Amino acid sequence: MKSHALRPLFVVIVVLVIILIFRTLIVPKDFGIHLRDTPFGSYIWGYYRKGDEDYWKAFKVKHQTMNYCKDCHSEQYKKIINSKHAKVQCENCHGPAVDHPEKPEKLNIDRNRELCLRCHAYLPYRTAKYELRGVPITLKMQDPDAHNTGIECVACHSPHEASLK
Amino acid sequence: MNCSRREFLESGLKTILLAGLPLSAFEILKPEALASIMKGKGRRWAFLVDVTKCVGCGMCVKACKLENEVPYDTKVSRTWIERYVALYDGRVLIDSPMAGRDGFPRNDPQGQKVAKEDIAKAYFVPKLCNLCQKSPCVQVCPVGASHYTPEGIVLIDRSWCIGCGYCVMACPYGTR
Ligand code: HEC
Ligand code: HEC
Ligand code: HEC
Ligand code: HEC
Repeated sequence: MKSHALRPLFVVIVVLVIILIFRTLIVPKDFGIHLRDTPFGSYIWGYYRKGDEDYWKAFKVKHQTMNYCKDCHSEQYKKIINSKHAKVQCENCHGPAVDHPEKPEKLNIDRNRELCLRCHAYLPYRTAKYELRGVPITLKMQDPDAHNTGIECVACHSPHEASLK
Repeated sequence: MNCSRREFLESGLKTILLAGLPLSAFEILKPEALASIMKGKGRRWAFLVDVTKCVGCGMCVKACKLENEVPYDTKVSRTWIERYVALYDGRVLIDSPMAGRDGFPRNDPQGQKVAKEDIAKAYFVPKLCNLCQKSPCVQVCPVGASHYTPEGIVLIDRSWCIGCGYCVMACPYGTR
């Protein structure tokens, strides 16, 4: 029964079996086709490791939004939610809080004119009027090279009240 | 049994029509079609940007870099804003200084001074991940690291990614 054709075939089968065993060992259990588009899943859109969803659900985001600040900095918080800057997040200007009072102990205070000019510099094509959920908003802009140059905006304006000091 | 030429053609036509009807009805048995009838389970989230409202402040670029620890002082960013300024003389100035990280505080597209009267049309185009319903980046991933959750979010499996960069090439918005 010995045949020169069967030997290489045998080798191929052994290699295949080894690869398959190796594969089942290293591929995680939850890796496979999951629900997407069809009740039976889809190879193109639903092929992944399910456990990764939990990884991202538990992932801590660095930007904590305004609600996070409201208990400790209630003064600034109250001012801003009653001002025209109510929609501008604290962390836009102060940077991400991460674990703020612990690590970084203080957030950055940027008094540079450029910070305000990101939104308030006059450009002919910058949208000056728009609506947000039916409420009209006018973005008042100033020519950066004409409006009190050389002085920080916050010398005259309060960033949290969006008004003159 | 007699059958005139007219009768033969008539019944032949009816047979074809009737046979065609149930065939198209089988369409409903395709898994995709069934699923669309059942409308899927739960919510599917989307992420929208109203580009007509973008004022080009660049806060999204700054936040993206800080959030995802992208080297801050390099030009690279996968959330970026482009400024298009089309002039009446036919030139179109397109720029994105530092990917728009510091906004556009001066009217200086490509470092040139342009007068208001010369501008035919100008706007900002913010480019953020659109969480596409059929994302090219998910489709091209050879290992299933770029994936789509049933809620509609496009994620990357950090431990599974082999770093081939296909998804970067595939993204039509240059945001991956
Ligand atoms: C758990 C309470 C707490 C929370 C929450 C908190 N902070 Fe603070 N923050 C502090 C403390 C304490 C200091 C240090 C004050 C000092 O040393 O003068 C501080 C300092 C700061 C400073 C610097 C003030 C200065 O005078 O130098 C800024 C800016 C700031 N916080 C912004 C924020 C923002 C924005 C948030 C929300 C994203 C926030 N903080 C959330 C407690 C908090
Ligand atoms: C438009 C940008 C901007 C936003 C939004 C903003 N801040 Fe400030 N913040 C500043 C600037 C600029 C200063 C420095 C003010 C000065 O020197 O007079 C400052 C100062 C502070 C200080 C130091 C104490 C003080 O009042 O001078 C704290 C604390 C603070 N901000 C917290 C907050 C919190 C909390 C929020 C959100 C509710 C917030 N900021 C939103 C720009 C901003
Ligand atoms: C992220 C964009 C953004 C930044 C940064 C920003 N602002 Fe504003 N600001 C706005 C918007 C939007 C409004 C108008 C809101 C409205 O009318 O409801 C506004 C309104 C104002 C107003 C009131 C204008 C009026 O209609 O009466 C003042 C004053 C102002 N900002 C000053 C500042 C100063 C000073 C800074 C820098 C510390 C700053 N802003 C930074 C977006 C911004
Ligand atoms: C020397 C003080 C001073 C400085 C510095 C200054 N402003 Fe003003 N700003 C004013 C005064 C005064 C007005 C006029 C208020 C009015 O007309 O009601 C004004 C008006 C504004 C308005 C329109 C508000 C309104 O109610 O019409 C905006 C927006 C504004 N400034 C933004 C800025 C920004 C951004 C900077 C920094 C680049 C800045 N300002 C620097 C004094 C100053």
